[in-house]
Amino acid sequence: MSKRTPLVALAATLATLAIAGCGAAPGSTEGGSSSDNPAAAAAAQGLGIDLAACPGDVTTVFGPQEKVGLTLPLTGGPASAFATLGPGALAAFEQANATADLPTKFELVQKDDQFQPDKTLAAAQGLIQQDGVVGFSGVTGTANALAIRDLLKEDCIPALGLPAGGTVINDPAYPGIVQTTVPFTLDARVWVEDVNRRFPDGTGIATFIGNTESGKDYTADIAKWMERTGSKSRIVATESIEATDAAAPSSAITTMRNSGAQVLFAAPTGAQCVSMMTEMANQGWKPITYLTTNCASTAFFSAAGPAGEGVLTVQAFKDVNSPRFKNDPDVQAVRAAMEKYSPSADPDNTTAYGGFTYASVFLEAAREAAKSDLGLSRLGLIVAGRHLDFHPPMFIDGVDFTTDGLEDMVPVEAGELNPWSVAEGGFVQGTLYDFEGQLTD
Amino acid sequence: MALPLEIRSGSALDRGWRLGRAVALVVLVVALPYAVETFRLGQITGALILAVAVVGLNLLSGFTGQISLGHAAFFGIGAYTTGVMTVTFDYGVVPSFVVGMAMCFVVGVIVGLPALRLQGMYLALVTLAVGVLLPSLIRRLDGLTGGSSGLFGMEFEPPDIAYFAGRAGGAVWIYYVTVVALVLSCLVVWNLMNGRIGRAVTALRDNEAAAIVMGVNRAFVRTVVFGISAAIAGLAGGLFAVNSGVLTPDAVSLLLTINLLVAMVLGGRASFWGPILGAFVIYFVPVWTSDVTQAPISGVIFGALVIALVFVLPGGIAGGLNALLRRVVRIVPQPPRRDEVTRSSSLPDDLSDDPVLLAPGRTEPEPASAARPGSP
Repeated sequence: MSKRTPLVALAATLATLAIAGCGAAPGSTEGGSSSDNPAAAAAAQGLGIDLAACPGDVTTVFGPQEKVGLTLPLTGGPASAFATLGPGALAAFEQANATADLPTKFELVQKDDQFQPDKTLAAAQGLIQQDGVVGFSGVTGTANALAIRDLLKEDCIPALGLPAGGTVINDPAYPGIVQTTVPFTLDARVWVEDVNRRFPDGTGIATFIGNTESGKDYTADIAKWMERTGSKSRIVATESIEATDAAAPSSAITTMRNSGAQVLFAAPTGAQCVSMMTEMANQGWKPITYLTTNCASTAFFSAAGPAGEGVLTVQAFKDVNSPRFKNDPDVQAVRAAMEKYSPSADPDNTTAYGGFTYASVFLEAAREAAKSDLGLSRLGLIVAGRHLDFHPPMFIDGVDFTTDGLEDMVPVEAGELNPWSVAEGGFVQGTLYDFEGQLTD
Repeated sequence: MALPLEIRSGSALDRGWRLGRAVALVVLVVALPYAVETFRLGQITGALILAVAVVGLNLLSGFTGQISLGHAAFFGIGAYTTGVMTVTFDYGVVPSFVVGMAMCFVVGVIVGLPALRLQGMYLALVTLAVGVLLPSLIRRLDGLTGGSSGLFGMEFEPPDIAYFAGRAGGAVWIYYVTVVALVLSCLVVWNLMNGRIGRAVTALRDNEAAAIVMGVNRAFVRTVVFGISAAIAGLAGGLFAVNSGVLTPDAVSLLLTINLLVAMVLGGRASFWGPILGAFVIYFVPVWTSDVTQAPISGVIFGALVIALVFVLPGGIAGGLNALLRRVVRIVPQPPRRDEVTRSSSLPDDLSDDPVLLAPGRTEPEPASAARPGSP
């Protein structure tokens, strides 16, 4: 090739790009919609939604068949923990389609995002533009949800039932995004409240928090609730752990033990919960331990063995592997639904039941929207999702899913603080803490 | 017509063939935004950004033969420099790109210093350390980088003209910016490899001792190539930041380095088209497999496909395509002019019978008097 050829090619490319720059953007479409329906206008205004800025007419009632999106990791490391959300969610949608209690049948379309926010964005764009989804029943992970919330807002597409615990999800600027899992702020509030009750004159607290998105929430929320409740306790040791750290946290436990703390607030990640409990037992340190709700499962505590005895976790979901809920009628019903409508779902996997529950929030909002003046439309879904009050079958009695517009944006504000019992082989029913309407800042 | 069609190098047909390919490529680049949906254009842009990074890695590992397991770190430095400068300090995107590339160049040169004494797996381990270090550093410096929560809000505002208006126009803008960045990166590598540095690089790769004896400045060549390779990866990182609008430490983990290496090998190492082809494969195969399977099985299909490609196309996709193309069109060298043949005292006598060295249509050498007028 001549030495001039690359330069000629570059010049040709730039010239062609310049020529291409004259004209309208390819693929550009006219945006904006308006509604003559006063109810729609009022509902949108109440949530701060600019109907004119939404592409297409968000008040158009859905047809007999629509698609709903779900992004989750199907490949990569986190897939082992979260991929089972999909079959659980599928069971909920197929059951709703089969029982025909909605005017629209929903097809669940799942896209792999490898738990990476940039890939979540690409997957969400594909779901919206290629598959034409009318909403999302789940976006797994807080950072992942943050990555796509502007896209969802611009397109006025609801995302209801997010398995993302970050406090930042509940932002009034994004009314169409509704969290479903136990928020980390509820964990922190319950922990502080329980310590205040046990130690009215205060005590020393150690914190062992993962250096993650959720860890930042825990740290901020613990400080916030200690201040707001006038707690006399104080933090005497602060240790952190990387999410990727697989080794036992020996030095961190030693440091916290030497601090003299009588209470431990712990929010590590996944299997680190097991290694933390085991290491504490090895070092003979037995403070009153509050562990993140992310680890409130029989699987983790069974792995920890005797080291888990008495460790407290906040629970809003029924643990299907716990003896307490093994024969619960609602659990049995969900198990039967999964076996019938989504045979690939593992009926012993807690996460699969989580997927079913997250999808049930979307479906409940759809039912409410269908009954409302707005009808089952995108706007109807957003408004219904922001005004839900129901009891999902997999929630513990006394814990409800409640939202109230922009006033109460945190749907799950109650939970049982349950200790693990080695003898029972499960969590023993403890105290129910209910902060309904108190967690929205 | 018998295949392969033989075309003399430098002939009008050869020039037409090359020009035709260049025009086809330009038409493809310009037509793509009109032919695909906005989200697909976004995915193509993502693949092109990956291609820029692979072009950088190919310069180092493909042409120079130095294995780097730290290119995700250079990608990350470029990405976070752009992110922090534009979001936190409100600088423009282009200056952020330049600063990011400069930082990557400096870090690349520093990391490249051990390359003067280390080779093979030992050098790979040094670069691996850099790759492991960066995500932890990003998490630690969370006040600046957003830590595990991520850094959001990076964007490259398009010019205020109708063609780049709206979301679709914004996607087209980033696409063209990425195309220009890729072309520039390829030109840099092309010019490097076709100049003195390129010859030095090849000499060092093939026989280091001989190259040094012949006067090649090993320290200069190795560190500069390392720096330029890192700077190109940093440019890719900057593009990634403004294209996705979100940065997390996981996005620049070792998995990215592995993806870059796989893309380079699959595409065809030490080739100019290989990085681009490999990047598209590594980007789109997981997308397509997850579309058709909807289950964790997509990872298995992707892995199997990669293994199959390595076995079927040992020279990479670029090598395979070249072989296929040679079955249709073959570029044969232009025979040396008559005067060059007669002037060459070292030319063996029997070569005068070689038809390749004869002018087309002749079966014996032309007389010396037939040399072109004005030729020395």
